[in-house]
Amino acid sequence: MARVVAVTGNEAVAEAMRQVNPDVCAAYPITPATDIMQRFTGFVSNGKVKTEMVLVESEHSAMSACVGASAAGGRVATATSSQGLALMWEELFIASGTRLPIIMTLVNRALSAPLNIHGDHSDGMGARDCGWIQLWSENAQEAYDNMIQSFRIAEHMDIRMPAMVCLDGFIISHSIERMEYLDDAVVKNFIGEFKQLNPLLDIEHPVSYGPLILTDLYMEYRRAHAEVMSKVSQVVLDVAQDFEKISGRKYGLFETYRLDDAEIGLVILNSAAGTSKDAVDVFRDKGIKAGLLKPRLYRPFPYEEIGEALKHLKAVCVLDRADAFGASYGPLFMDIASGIYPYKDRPLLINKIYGLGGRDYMPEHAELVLAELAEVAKTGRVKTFKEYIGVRE
Amino acid sequence: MDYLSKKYLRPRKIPSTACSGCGLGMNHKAVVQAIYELGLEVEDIVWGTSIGCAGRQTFGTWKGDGFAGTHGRVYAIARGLRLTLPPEKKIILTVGDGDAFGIGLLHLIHSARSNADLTIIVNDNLGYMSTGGQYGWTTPHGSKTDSSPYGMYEHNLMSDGMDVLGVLKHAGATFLARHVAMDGQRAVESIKKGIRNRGLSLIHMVYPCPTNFGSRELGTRDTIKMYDYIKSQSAPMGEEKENTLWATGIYHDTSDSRPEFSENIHKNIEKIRRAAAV
Repeated sequence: MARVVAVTGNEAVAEAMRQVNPDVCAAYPITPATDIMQRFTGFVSNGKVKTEMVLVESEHSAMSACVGASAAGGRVATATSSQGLALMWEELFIASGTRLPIIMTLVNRALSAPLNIHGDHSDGMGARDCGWIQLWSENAQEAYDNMIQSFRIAEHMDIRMPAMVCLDGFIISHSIERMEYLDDAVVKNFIGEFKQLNPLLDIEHPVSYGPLILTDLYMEYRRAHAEVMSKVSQVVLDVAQDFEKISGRKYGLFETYRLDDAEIGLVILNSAAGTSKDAVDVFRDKGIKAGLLKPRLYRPFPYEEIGEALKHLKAVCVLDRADAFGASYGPLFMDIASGIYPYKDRPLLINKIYGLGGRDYMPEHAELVLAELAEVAKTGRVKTFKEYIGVRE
Repeated sequence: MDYLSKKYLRPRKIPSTACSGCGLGMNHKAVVQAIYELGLEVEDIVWGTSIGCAGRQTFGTWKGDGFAGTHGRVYAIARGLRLTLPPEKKIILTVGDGDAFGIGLLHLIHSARSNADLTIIVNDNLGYMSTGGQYGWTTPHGSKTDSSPYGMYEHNLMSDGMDVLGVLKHAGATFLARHVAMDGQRAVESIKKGIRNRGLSLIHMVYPCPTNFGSRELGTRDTIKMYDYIKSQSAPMGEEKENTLWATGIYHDTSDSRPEFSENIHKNIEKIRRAAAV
């Protein structure tokens, strides 16, 4: 029987990790992710897990230790935020390039400078193209569910890629909400035994990880990586189907909310999607056909499926909690735009940058955006394609 | 607010947002006192900070110029700054133990190797206290912390006869001292010598954290008990007792004995340029 609990997002993730019982975890404290590994350390100390836990001297070392442990054939997990992820940058590519199914929770937080510890998506967006799978989560329940599913996805024999599970710093990581835990035995059975693939120290079958490969074969490795990424969507859907059987909760590549007959729509990641759904309801009550799409699998980005889901709308606003400085639009916008580009009749797209450094995103913000979209849909004209909202100009 | 904080610090940053009973203000005061006693003015100093309790509580407090580095990088930033700053300007860094002796140790060792003219005050609250109180690289053996509920057992830089100041001495630092927050004028004198040294100076200053360290290790946030914990386990060098964890005073002083980093680079580049011109 599932247990109904009231916990924070971090607590939920730590509980998922306890139930998974990884072989090795490496950690270095960073706000707001510290709490996850902190709680997990308690499980280690209390003998609730058999994990080998190592506190290292930096996040670069944390990911390096994960790479080593994973290459040796262990099931490996860690967690970080912001600057921690930035410092891991070099090793992120080593993990994905050597096909190591490491699981990392990323508690999204703004990047320095100036220093800010609150939630935005700059960190995850900065690492979006490093070859990792990224699953984004609206609330503690989704973070927990994504954590459990991520092991199955990353460790799938056709995939063997590292995966990040993202949740909003403080807004979700430190807020208590009602959610459901699965039974330990159910989780254990769901994720199954860890299967090694080309582990080090198997002296009958010696392997090399990450050697020098120059112009002769490097490009083929990258091509193979791209090939693997193209298979992830189907695995995510298969795992979600199995997960529904044990939890009753349905997951896809993305979530749609009142979108099927919508004329205007919002595309938004993580916790702010919850706020936006309320605004969608307000507009529906007024007789305006509003809807919402919340990406879940952000890398690899299911652009074909998302394009298909949005193509019938008249106007769409993509809300980004990070900017891509010097690029035309925010990172999520650019992905959405590429998804709907192939369609001759496609919605008009606008982009809003919101909530940087933890700035509050309120229902009124979503309502203002929806009002603007209704106008765009009616007139067919866009006044401003990209704009910061909730900012002092 | 006393006279010195008015003279050197930004009034709106005093009092800081530190927890009740935090000893960081005592260390901060000692640094400002040393600056005052050396007759230095606001414009003579660039102040750098890092992350964590020490970084956050001293960031932006200096009335003059300052900069905040990311975790562990402030030494690398300061070396870049040292190359371009006039030699008479001082660089003072207030950092934490996790920053200096953990994530930033590599940069710190290279700052010592190159003998960069920096005065680094390592404010040591015995672990990672701003993230909730995890043990770190100077946490006394056996201490109960949030991440070591049964006592810290890992080797670290202050256990089994190890001393992080020894590491830095052999890496080439030219002035090293250790104090605790209660050392008062003795600490001020060491900081003054550190600032005067034209090279890498580091003053390791242990200070009490009742909120996280005290509550876990001592089972209380009682400020007096936390202060006593540190004071009773420290003694001036040469007067150590059996329970002394922190022997205080000057650990190593070869001030002005080796060419300073930027001076050395400038001098040699000049020499090469002259040779090339011939």
